Amino acid sequence: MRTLNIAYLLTAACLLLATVNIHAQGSTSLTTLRIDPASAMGGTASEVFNEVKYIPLETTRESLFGDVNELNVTDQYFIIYDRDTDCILLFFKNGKFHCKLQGSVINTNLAHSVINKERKQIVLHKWKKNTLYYLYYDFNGKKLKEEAAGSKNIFFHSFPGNKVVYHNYSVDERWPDSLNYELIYTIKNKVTATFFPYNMKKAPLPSREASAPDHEPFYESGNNSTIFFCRPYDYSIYRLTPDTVQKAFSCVFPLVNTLPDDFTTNASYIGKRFMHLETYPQQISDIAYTYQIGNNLFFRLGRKAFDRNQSFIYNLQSNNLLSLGRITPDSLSCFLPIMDEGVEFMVKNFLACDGNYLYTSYSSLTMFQAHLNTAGRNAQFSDELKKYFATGNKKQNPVIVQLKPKENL
Amino acid sequence: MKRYCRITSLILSLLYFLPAFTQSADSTFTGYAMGFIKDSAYHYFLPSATVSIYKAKDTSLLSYQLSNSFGEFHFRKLPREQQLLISVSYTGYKHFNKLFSIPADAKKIILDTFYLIRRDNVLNEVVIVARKPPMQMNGDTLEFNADAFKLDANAVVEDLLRKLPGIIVWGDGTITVNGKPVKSVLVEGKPFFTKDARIATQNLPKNAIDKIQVYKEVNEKNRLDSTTNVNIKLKRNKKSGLFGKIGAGYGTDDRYLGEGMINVFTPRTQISAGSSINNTNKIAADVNTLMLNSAFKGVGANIEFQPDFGKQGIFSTRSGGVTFQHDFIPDAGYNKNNRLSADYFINDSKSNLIKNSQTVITLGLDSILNQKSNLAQIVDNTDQYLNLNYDLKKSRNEFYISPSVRINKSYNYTRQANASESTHLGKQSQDSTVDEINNQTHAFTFKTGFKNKADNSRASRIPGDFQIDYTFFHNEVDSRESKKSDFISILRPSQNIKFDRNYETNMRSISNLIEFKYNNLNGLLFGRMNLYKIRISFFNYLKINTEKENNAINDFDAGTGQLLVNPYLTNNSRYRTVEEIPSINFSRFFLKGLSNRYQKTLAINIEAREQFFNQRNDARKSFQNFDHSYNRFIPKASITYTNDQFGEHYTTYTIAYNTSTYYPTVNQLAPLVDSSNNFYRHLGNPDLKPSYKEEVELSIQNTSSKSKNVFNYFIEIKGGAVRNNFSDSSLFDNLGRNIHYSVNVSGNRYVNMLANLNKAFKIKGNLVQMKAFASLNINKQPSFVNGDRILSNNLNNNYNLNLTYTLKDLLALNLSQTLNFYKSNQSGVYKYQLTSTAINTAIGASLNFPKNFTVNTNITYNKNITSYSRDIKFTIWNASVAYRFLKGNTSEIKFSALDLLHQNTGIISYGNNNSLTLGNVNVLQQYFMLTFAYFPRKFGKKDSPK
Repeated sequence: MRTLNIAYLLTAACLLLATVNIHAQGSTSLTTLRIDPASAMGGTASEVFNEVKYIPLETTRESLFGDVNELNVTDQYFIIYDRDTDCILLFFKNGKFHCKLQGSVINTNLAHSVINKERKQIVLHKWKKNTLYYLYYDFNGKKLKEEAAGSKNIFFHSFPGNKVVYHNYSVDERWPDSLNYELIYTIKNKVTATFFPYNMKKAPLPSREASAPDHEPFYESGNNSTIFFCRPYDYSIYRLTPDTVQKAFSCVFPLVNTLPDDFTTNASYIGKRFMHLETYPQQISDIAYTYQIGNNLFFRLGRKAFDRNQSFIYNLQSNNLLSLGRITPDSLSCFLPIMDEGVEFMVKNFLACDGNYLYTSYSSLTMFQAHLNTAGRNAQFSDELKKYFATGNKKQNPVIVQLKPKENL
Repeated sequence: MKRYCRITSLILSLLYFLPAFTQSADSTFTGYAMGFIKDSAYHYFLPSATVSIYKAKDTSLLSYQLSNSFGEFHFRKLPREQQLLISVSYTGYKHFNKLFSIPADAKKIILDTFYLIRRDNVLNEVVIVARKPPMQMNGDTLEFNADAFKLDANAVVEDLLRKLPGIIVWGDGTITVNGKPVKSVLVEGKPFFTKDARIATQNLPKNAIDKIQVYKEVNEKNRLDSTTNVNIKLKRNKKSGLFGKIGAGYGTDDRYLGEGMINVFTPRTQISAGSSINNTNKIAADVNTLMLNSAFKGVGANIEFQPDFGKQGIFSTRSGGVTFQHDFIPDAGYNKNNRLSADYFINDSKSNLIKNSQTVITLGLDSILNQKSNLAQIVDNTDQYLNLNYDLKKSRNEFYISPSVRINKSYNYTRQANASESTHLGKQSQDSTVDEINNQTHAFTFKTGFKNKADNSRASRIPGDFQIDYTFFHNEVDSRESKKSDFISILRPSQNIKFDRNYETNMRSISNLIEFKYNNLNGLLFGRMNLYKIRISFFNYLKINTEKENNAINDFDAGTGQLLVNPYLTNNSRYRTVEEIPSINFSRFFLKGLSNRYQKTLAINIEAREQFFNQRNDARKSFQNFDHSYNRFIPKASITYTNDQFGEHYTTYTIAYNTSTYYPTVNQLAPLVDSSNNFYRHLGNPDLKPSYKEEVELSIQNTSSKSKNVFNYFIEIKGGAVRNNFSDSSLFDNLGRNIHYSVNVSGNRYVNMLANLNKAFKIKGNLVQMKAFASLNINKQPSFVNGDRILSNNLNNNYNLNLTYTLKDLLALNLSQTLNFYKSNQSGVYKYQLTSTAINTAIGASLNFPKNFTVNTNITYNKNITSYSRDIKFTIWNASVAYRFLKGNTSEIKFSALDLLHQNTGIISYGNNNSLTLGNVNVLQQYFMLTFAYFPRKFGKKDSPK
């Protein structure tokens, strides 16, 4: 793997022995959540949300793109990564197109861009002769600088004060018999702490079986100093701060949904894990898309049984569990879907959270199909939506959905 | 191999726009009812719950639908002032039933929200046999519960399928779901006796069916490539069964018919045995055909297609066979299989053919040769074969072994008289021949193969995708022939000649074929190098074939009264060919798409093939000995472009280029010329070179992605040129004899075009099916006649339009129009035009009335217009009436009147370059027949009383 720089990792491993100065906070504030997916409640959109807004993204020749594969929400912009056109597009929050960065034009790999909201920068990466470079762009698409990355990892989160946490998990028989860490904290490229050690050669969970769900490992909820971190086959949700790694929530599921205890530690599972999940499709393989707004915790439970009951809201105060798939559209959502009838939401879930709102997106194909169901329901569309349905078509740009959940669910 | 997996959303799309399905509606039904379905415990509206409305008094189903995404249901056209029963069901929940009625003064009624209770929340639930919903979603599968549909007690699966929304059963047995053809129809997840779905759909009683399941599978590598499949799930107590037919009939003109078929199935094993005996030209080539002929069929009106009145000659046949299939694992499926199957079939047919024809051969502007032929032939042919097949399939590999034996014994007696006449010379010559041949053929084939699919997670360490297949073939033919001919030359009596010749031939051939394919050569040769994403695969074809022939030919010498060895024709030879074709395939795939808008792909495939071919013949005659080696580059390439516009259409455009080489055979190069063939003497041409064909193919296939008014079409155009084509050089002597050999001629060109389209409309109980087909073949064929090069421009046109209208189970009407047109223009030295047109117009009807009576009739008007002949017109009218009786309609008595107008005529009409052959042949003609049939049918145990 290109992301692997053995020399760097060995150095990092040595450094760490001397420099570890922060530790995982045990379970001092650990909350145990008992979750039975089958018993999740439902309701109508207006019972669960205070606000549901559909924001059509402007469609012009320049702004036409495929899908919202990644979404970052800043005070001013929706920053979207589209895999089809290999573009990062910036739209104002009213849906008006602002500008875009196109991979083929700036000769850069746009996937896994990182947004530094504090500095208002888009950080891209580029490989040159086996060396990773970071490219910094401002929110107007202007290149600011290019510098060699001290680390060789593209999955990272920048905390305030130059503190960065990197994620890396790479286990294969071909790699050296040495130690590495899933999380590495640095300050100005100097390793300050490491967590979740593993042997790169002998760890009982090879990378090929730890293929992360279709998302990055870190989830932001609007507060730059706190992010959630999730691991495959791990029923804990970790809270990362600039100085700590804390097991924030530990989920307990009914036996029928629970993996064997030794699923990640027993080497006899090597090569059989995917088959096991096929055989027991109700068992939960991962927790992902973890966001928090007030007392509401949002997450998706990964299961081979690919049904509508997979994305949930857990109210930490009332301990109520709601399933997104059981929320029926009503007048609040103009009878448009919260979770669509197809697979769009099931594939992408909530794409972002800014601490107040959750965000996802629907294609115009889905929106126009859903629009047929609103006939005769006296839906009170916003002016933008009226115009969108009146003048647009199913080949237009996707629509951003902005949802504000009720505090007391 | 494509790996498919099921997906829910696609099957949901089948229902996306579907409203309520009405079983029986009346124009006076104007009531409207709506309501909501909700989970009682978890407080949410249930989409896709099945809501059915029945008449309360007799529980007949009026209408049903799935609740929408708001958990709502809306029923229109309901009767007012009538007690109705609404039934709601959802997997995992208790059924909910409620009585209601729509008052006379209210057109609309809003029912309460119905709260469903989960089954697992109901303690000590008394199990009540609930009314099954007509339709429901079960995970990724759309299910239709057979019991919810009230049909005649004797209905079969086909009758049920006709009732289901979006499903159309076509006249040829094809089933489409929303316009898309169903790839496989399985019973309990397995093929039912054969791959032909009709065996299941026309025999299994509707009452033995638990569910009809419809599901889609998408190709895991290309999620846009999906197939629609149907699985028939049997009731728990009906998983074993027996069905068949015993029938006999006798008619005028000594026509008879007898048939018997029995099929037995258990959850893992299927065995069928059947036989047929008749002299009505009903010839079965395999057990599958016997099974189809014995199908019970249900209660629906079916257009009964007329017997094959066009078949030349009168055949009396006896045939029978057995098939066996056993699954060693209970849950065989697409990716998992462990199955043994076998079939044995024997067919003994005797035919009697009387053919009179006249061939017009143009030899110049005003020179025409007219050759008449009268032929009488008796053939007695016994053919039997045994096929065994064992197939073991796992997720990543597959192994099969398949031996088969075929034995054929035939006797052929031909008496033929020919005469030739020229416009210049008048009567030239005539001959008479009596030929008697006894043949025995024994063939043995053994096939085996192994296929391995790479483990993608370990692609770098173990061999990738590969496939190896081996075929061994042994064939031995023993032939004895006795031929007597008498040639009389009217112009030159000195050339009169008689033959009395006996042939004894033994021909034995053995061939070995090994095919090997390795799919990922990149990884093996270049490791992780990108190679511009070009994928390289390797394929090798090696075939070694040996034929040994020993001939002993004797002539009867009238002078001595003894048989004398014919030293020229008596021969021993050994012919061996070795064909080796290594090829490397380069492929590159481009993809462009905009999510949820469109996806376009471009696949470029180039196959570099080198063909090495060696042919060697060792014979007693030295002029027959040769050893030729050739090698030739025979490349092949294709470009496929697909355009998937989501929700609109999926269109595939293909352009392909292909080359192939044909090598001359011993018979073309250096045959032993048998002079007893008076009018057609075939000579050799040792200078014959291999011919080389280049072909370009263009095709467009359009499949609609819309859920309504589906319209699909396919267009294909092929064009090619053959260099050194094996063409004819014919020399007609003054006696009208054709001395012929093959020559290499370039300039052979052809264009073939084909188009077909189909469309169906299903409106309530009425179904209209339309199928249209058109083909056009144009070719330029140079050849030599009497040393002059002639160019034949041939054109062949076919059109067919077929319309079928079905009104519920009561009536079916069919209208069909077919036109075949042939035209041949000679240019060069000879300028001449030959044309032939055949038009068939057919109309058929089937009426099921009164109950258990079926009346079938069809009339076909035939018209043939040909150069040099008067127009031939005739009409075939067939009719039958059948009555089914006894419990379960297991007995049938049928009276058939075939060719009522006694007009059926066997017409011979075909053209070939400068010749046109016209004539007549004996065919089946008018007969009346009374048949009786009994259908033994037993499916599982009896239903326990409710």
